[in-house]
Amino acid sequence: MALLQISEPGQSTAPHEHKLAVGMDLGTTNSLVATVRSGVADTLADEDGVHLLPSVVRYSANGDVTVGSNALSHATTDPLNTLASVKRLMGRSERDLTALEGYLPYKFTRHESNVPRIDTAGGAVTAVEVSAEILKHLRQRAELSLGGELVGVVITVPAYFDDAQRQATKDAATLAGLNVFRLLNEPTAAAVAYGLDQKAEGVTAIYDLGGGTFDISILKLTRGVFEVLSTGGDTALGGDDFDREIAVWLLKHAKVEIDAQAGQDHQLMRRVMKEARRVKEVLSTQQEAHISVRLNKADDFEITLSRNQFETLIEPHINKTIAWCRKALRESGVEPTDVENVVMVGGSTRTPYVREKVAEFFGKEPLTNIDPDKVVAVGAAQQADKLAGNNPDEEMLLLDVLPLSLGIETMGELVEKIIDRNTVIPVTRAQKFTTFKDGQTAMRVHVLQGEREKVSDCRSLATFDLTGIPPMVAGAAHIVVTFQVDADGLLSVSAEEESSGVNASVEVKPSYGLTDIEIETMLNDSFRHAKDDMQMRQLAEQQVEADRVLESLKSALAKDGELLSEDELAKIEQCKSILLAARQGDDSDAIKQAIQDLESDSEEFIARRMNRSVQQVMKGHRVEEFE
Amino acid sequence: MNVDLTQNYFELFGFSEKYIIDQEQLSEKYRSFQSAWHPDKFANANDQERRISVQTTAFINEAYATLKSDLKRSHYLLKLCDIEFNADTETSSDAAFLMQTMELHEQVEDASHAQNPLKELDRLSNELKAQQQMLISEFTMQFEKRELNVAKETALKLQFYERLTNQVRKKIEQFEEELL
Repeated sequence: MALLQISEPGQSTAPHEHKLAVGMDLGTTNSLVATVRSGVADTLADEDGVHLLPSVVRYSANGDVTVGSNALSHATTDPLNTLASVKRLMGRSERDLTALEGYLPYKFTRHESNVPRIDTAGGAVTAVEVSAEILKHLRQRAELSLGGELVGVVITVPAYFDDAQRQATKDAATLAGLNVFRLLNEPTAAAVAYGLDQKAEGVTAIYDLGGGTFDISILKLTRGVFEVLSTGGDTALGGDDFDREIAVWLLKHAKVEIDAQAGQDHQLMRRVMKEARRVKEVLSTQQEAHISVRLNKADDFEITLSRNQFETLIEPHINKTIAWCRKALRESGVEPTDVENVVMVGGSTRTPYVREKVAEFFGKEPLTNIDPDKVVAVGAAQQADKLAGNNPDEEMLLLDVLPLSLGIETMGELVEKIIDRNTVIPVTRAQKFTTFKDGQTAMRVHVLQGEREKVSDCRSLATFDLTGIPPMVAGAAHIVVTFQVDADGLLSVSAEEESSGVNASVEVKPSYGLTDIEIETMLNDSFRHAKDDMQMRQLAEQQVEADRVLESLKSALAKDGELLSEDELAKIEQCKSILLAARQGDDSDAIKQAIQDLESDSEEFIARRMNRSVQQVMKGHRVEEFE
Repeated sequence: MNVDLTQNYFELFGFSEKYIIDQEQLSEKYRSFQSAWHPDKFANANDQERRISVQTTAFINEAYATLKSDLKRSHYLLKLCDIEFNADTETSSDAAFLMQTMELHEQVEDASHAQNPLKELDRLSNELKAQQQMLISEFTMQFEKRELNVAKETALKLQFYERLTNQVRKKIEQFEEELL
């Protein structure tokens, strides 16, 4: 953290240096990493030329962790230690698990923090840790092929992800040692990949059909604000259903009785499913596919499936997705004909019949020229490139909205909304509370997210205990609780008692997700440094930090010192000498404290400098140039 | 594009404190503020600068949302004139208006049970919109003449219409859901 170093907004400190930034698509089934090179965004392949990284992690008893296809190949032989689809678990509590049973055949262990842990041969792990392994793998791939350290990443999340799920994603990135520029909604990333953010206005539908999930999002662009009007979807609908339909059809024609329950011929089923998948892919380009599969020891069963027959088989599933599209449009108050662009995302949109039905419903051809598996990662990479400051001339402004309303619990287990969904973020809102008993010194606030009225229908995010309220008669204390949502959609809360100015301390107890301490412990564990080493390193780090802070303060004062009054200057000078003294000692905490004090006392100064620098950038330009 | 967090929203956007504002100018100014202050512009900055940028854009967003909404703008203007009220709990004390609200609630009920509820609710929704437009013109005049307490009554009426319109919209969505 460099105090007071101001770069001109939208520009990198060294304009000619290309900064390494990537977009990461952390998917349920597959993950990808992409970057912009010579102005073109593309995904990065591994040594074998493969772009898609299966989102699978295997934990072995000897402590080895494998990621991707190496892990996936053990899915059937070592299912309990080979973890797939953990995205479904991100930000979820023990209570949510029952709803996910069936999808995730893992052994869970109870833990006091409420975060479910999966028991593996390599120890109990959380979804955050598993995701961090995937992100780490992508990071290594990127750093290897780009030949340097990444300055930052943009990670995509589903538009409907709530605070806990977004926080979990960001925690995983922290754990993977990544600097997150921004969490970007997946449909927004897909729209960016097609350059739709450059247009003036319009409604875009993002149709995302993956292997096992379906999502539809309706986005509206108005003067640079990307608004998610509505989202919908089915977490158990996807291209895997197409494979299953073909397999069932095949077995029926071969007159093989399927008894999945007995699982009698697992090998046979795997052969059939594999063939079904191949046939599906063939039918994307051919009018018919020849099937040949060994059903018993004697001979191969042969049959031909036409595209028409295939389309009849999968029609019910596609109709279901269209019903979701209709619902999403209705919720957003948009007619199918109002939709200007339809973007196809997910491998299953390669099936021509899917494209046909989607085109028929929206009355226009969907956009398909970017690989539907890669489009989200490509959009994320473009945004990451802009955020890294690699295109100082390009105007960028991608505003996002809060996906779900934030509220607090009131009497009668009802939720009172404080920030409505679709409010442009960042947003800050203050809510006043008062005491209802004489001499009350503490109160508890329960924060929830969701659209429903009852507490039990919304997602519990956190419980805050406000303590240290000065004792007064009932109703006399006014506690202002400020809710702030940052550009990633993440919430933070602070509180103050108005009349006395006392800052009530806020203790956050996340209902889901990990506590900061847990994250810190995980980080420390992953360093595996001896305690002394850690202390030495901390001291060295703080000393370097102190030097940098002092140096930038010196240059800031030299450049913009006149922005300060004498009193203000004296105060900053005082903090500076305390820091100088601490810098000579060997107490890293004291140095850290002195840096923090200096930072908080110079906050106003920095705000003024930022104002001045913003103004200088704007000078000589007309407002319209920044439109 | 200086932002002073102690300014009121009208000052911030360079408007005089009047009810009718130039929406075009509002959007343009908003976008140039965002272009200068959005956290994405400070993706490479230090934590403190990023925090200030979040605070500043949050302020800009709040100001924009308040000025853009006819209802919120009316409440905010009154607050600036020291007319304090709690829009969540207070209602208009105009007896004739109260009668009218009861009638409107009945109409919503009737429409929900009509032969073709969707058509009736749509009609009602349009009527409510027209009523709101009238109240907006009334408020503009009253505020102009500094009849602040009368203007407050009008603002509370607007609040009622907004809530009722939302209720009607929810009902429409419910009926549409059933049609599926």
